Amino acid sequence: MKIALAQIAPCLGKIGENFEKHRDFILRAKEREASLVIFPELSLTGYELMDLVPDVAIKRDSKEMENLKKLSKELPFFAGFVLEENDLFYNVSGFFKDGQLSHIHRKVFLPNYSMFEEKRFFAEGKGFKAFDSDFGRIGVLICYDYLHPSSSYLYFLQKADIIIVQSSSPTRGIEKDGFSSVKMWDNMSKVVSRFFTTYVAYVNRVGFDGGMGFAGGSHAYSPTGDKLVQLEEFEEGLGFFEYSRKEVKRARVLFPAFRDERAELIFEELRRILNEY
Amino acid sequence: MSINPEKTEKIIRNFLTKELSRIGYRKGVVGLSGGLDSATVLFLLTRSIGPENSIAVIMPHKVTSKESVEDAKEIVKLLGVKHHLIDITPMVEAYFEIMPTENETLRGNKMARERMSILYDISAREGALVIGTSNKSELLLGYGTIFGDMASAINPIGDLYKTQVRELARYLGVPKKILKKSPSAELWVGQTDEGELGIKYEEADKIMHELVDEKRPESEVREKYGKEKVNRIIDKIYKNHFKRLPPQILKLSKRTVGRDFLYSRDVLT
Repeated sequence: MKIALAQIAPCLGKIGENFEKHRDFILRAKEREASLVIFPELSLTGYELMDLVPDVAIKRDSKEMENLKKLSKELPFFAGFVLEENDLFYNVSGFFKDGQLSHIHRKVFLPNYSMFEEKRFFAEGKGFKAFDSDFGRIGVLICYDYLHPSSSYLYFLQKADIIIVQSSSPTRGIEKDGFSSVKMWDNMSKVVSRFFTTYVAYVNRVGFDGGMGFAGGSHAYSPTGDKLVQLEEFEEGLGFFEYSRKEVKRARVLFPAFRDERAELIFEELRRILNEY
Repeated sequence: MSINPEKTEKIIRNFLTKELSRIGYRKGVVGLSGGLDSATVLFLLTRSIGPENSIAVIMPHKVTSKESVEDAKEIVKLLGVKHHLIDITPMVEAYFEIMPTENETLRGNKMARERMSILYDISAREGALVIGTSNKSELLLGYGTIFGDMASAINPIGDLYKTQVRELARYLGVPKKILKKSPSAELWVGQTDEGELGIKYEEADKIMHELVDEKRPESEVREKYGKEKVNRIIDKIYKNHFKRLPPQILKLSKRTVGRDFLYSRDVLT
């Protein structure tokens, strides 16, 4: 099964244009016989929205939602957008498949440090729920969610076969061997895939919002911690990797982290630590 | 604090190309002094949007050295870009005939703003964005003229310290002669940045990198580099903070420009 990583540069606040770009990449992925396409965080809206958040938000019954559902008849895909629910606005990942919105992950960890101000504009998601699909069990994380390894751990405990990470990560920290932010995501994926024995598909956007550049560098890792695909930095592009449930099993035979995990002990320890907090 | 020049060039070229496609101004205009920063920016600009879309403006005053003008001309020739050579002496001196002063700073500020005014005129005439050439060292130390050389539409090197700009310039193939020059605003004869600031960029950049980028406690940095030197830098950073910000607006309404009327610079472009 072939999975496509769609490393796009969304236009800030222009849903119509971005939707067309989604269609274009989905059709290109279909031509290459992919079964699933993953877009970055806020792929339909761009990242630095600020006061634009309520204006670009989509409701479950919005016309834009209908268009996204229709588009999923071509191929299933994960897209990022602003969801309005009960007058609250969430930074979400939507999984669209066969004309339906079949899963939503609301970003839990909203960064509010350095150049980030997401808590000012978004409401927080409340959980990490894995779900079953034709592509095995999936866990979705949005950008800063992924920088808290505990989020991936929760998907590990739910036996996720693949962790999908959608990102709009501003490029920063220029050093001798490249940007520290790019290395950070790659390091995380290497560790998470290897030690939680899952596929990791990380899709980061490119382009610029208000002087912040986004490096792309989208990649996928196998459940044994090997890199399967790496997209070029700073350029739009479509990358592919082969997904096979059998590889997850093989990884878990080689390295029985899940079998040896002591979730109950962790739970008790968390309870004790929280009591002493 | 060494940089990867290849990746730096790539992100800057992407940035310039993208920003110059957003708002209908497809060209870029740079004030070229013959020094390192503006030469580096012009190299980056021509490699992003081509020499045919890049405009260099050389604006000497009578205190500017012949060497600087020659170096600027050489860069223009090397890159094959269109240029204007505009002597600012008549305009600047016409003003000082009415408002005489021997104060070098006042004279220098006037020159910097005259150049800004010319760049923005050419910007509107030719449909070219003014590309800024202030580096991070200057911005932090406030070593620039507000609404003068600090004015621009976009600045591709404002987050690189002087020493990092030099590293990038070397990689880009900026002529050795320019790499080796003592940085100078040339607002009066014999002026050098390092002479005026009383510290070498190499050291100031290290200190600022620790204070700003790594956010090490001031006390720690003082201990490492010496109290007097570090205090002088900290003092300059805070004292000149206003230069880095848009004008202060008194808040009266519920949503105020610059305070809680918040949109990205790139909104809907």
